[in-house]
Amino acid sequence: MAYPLSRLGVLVKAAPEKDADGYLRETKKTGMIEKDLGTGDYAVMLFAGGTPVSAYILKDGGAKTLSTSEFTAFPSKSAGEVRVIDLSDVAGRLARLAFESRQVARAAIQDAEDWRRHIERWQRENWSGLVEVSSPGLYGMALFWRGGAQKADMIFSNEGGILTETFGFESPNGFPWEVSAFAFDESDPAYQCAALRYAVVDWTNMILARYQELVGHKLLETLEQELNRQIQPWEWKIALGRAAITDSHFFIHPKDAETAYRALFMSMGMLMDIVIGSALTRRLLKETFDLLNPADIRLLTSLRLIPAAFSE
Amino acid sequence: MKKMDHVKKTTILGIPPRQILIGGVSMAFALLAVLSWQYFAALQNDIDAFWDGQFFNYITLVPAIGAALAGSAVTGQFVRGERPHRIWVAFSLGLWFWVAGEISVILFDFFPAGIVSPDFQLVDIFWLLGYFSLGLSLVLQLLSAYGMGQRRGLSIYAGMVVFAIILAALLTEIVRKGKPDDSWSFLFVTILYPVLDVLAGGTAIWLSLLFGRGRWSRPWWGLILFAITDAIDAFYWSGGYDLVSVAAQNTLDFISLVTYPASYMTAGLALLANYFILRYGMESGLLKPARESGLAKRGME
Repeated sequence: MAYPLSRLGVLVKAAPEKDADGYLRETKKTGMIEKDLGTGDYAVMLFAGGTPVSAYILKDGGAKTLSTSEFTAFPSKSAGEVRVIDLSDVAGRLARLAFESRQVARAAIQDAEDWRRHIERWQRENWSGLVEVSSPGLYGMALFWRGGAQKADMIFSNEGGILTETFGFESPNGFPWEVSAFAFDESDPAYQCAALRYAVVDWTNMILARYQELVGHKLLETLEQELNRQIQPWEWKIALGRAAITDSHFFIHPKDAETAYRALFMSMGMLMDIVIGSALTRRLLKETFDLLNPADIRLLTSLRLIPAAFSE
Repeated sequence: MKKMDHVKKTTILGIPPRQILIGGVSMAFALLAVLSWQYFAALQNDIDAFWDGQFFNYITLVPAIGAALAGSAVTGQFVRGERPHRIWVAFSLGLWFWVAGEISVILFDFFPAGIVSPDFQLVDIFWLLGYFSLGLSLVLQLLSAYGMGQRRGLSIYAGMVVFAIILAALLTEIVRKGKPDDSWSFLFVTILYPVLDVLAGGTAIWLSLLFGRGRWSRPWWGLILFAITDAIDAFYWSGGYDLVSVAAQNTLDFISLVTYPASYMTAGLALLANYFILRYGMESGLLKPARESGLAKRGME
């Protein structure tokens, strides 16, 4: 991969160059410390919520894992070449996935029609992977899951900074693009976190929709507000609203994510129990669970994130 | 880790919803106590005068109107198109029909013109419309719980109504052989009530089992009590009282006397609780889990 990943975040000018990691730790921020090695290579260290995640050396278009001490030992071209980049959690976890994934294809996209054909092929193939888009005016990453581009895991930037709602992924412009496709490594924690997240998001969305059907939007809002309130002290970037869950949190270990989701489902089950009773809650959880993708069912079952665990 | 914010508790005229409900329950018990006291006093003197009088009807009208108002308040918390909206529209409409029935029972004494025919009275129209509305809401709730489509639900409901009418007609034919003096229409209406009670009560029990202790289904508990009252009533009309002792008759009368207004009270208070939950959410103080667990438990650490 060419290294413009820093374009997914914001350069922190106020960060002290000599204590860059101290800055990220103290401010509990997700971000990246970047060292320009002066050879066209870079060493980077990722942080999630102020906690170091992993370090990499980016060399010859690929990324290799480094230990923290190896990263620290790498001298930068000059003292001024250590940079701190603030990343959103979504950008942070995409960057980690990119570092941990293997490039499987590279293509030059000439126009929107060409891009549409690529998207259709990924949809047809039910492909899961990461797509890196690069052009002089645009850089970004998008996660594809079972053939679909995931809006919750997509980030793009141009000269003006990070794009939010303004970027139309499916009707873009500014061609030609360089596009690289990366395949996930299933043993990688970043991938495991993503797989778990998608299973949980799908199940939660189904639960919330079915609950709304049963009790209406007001009680659904009450449930969502209460869960959001209970999530708050944990400082997880997980929010519920309009019968959907948004999980923008950068969990470092799958175990951390599992713990969070377990607590979330437990609280959800308990609150639903009070309104619709335990038998119907169990039924609702089971019905929606059975509708999940078989791979998601296997994954959630292996972690005991199952209906029986969340209803009395 | 941050400490979790506490949920604000709402009050209505300075009174928390839970206290209002406790007040409602106390009032219900007080009304039932007065009714029981009147009944036992009359039992010592002139019980026929008690049954002929309007005291029981007036006492019943209060929770009947209360339940219908609470039902309408619950309905008002949903927007058109939401599945529960139709359920609670049908439920509160059924309760209003029954309020009209209760009023027509009282007015009947003053305005005999309320009679449609000697065998079929104005009050029967209200009772039956109430049954069909409440039955519809029961079926809609059941289908919603099982995730079935409303189109299919309406077919099932129509089937149930036709089944109840055919069953009541068949039973009328059988009973009429033993009571040739009674008109067919009088017997049909008399039998239709317990048939509808069995269907409504059975469905309400089914729903209650499905929802367990969940607050959502508690208004249906009122219909179970109605079924008990009407079962005693049907037992009386079918001549069952001839088979039991006077003491047993009095006991059945007393149960019927108490459960009838109690069914409105149960439905009304459960609807009021649901209204508070819908209107004020967690701030109503009625949705607190029995124990802290999941996010909340760990959030308290």
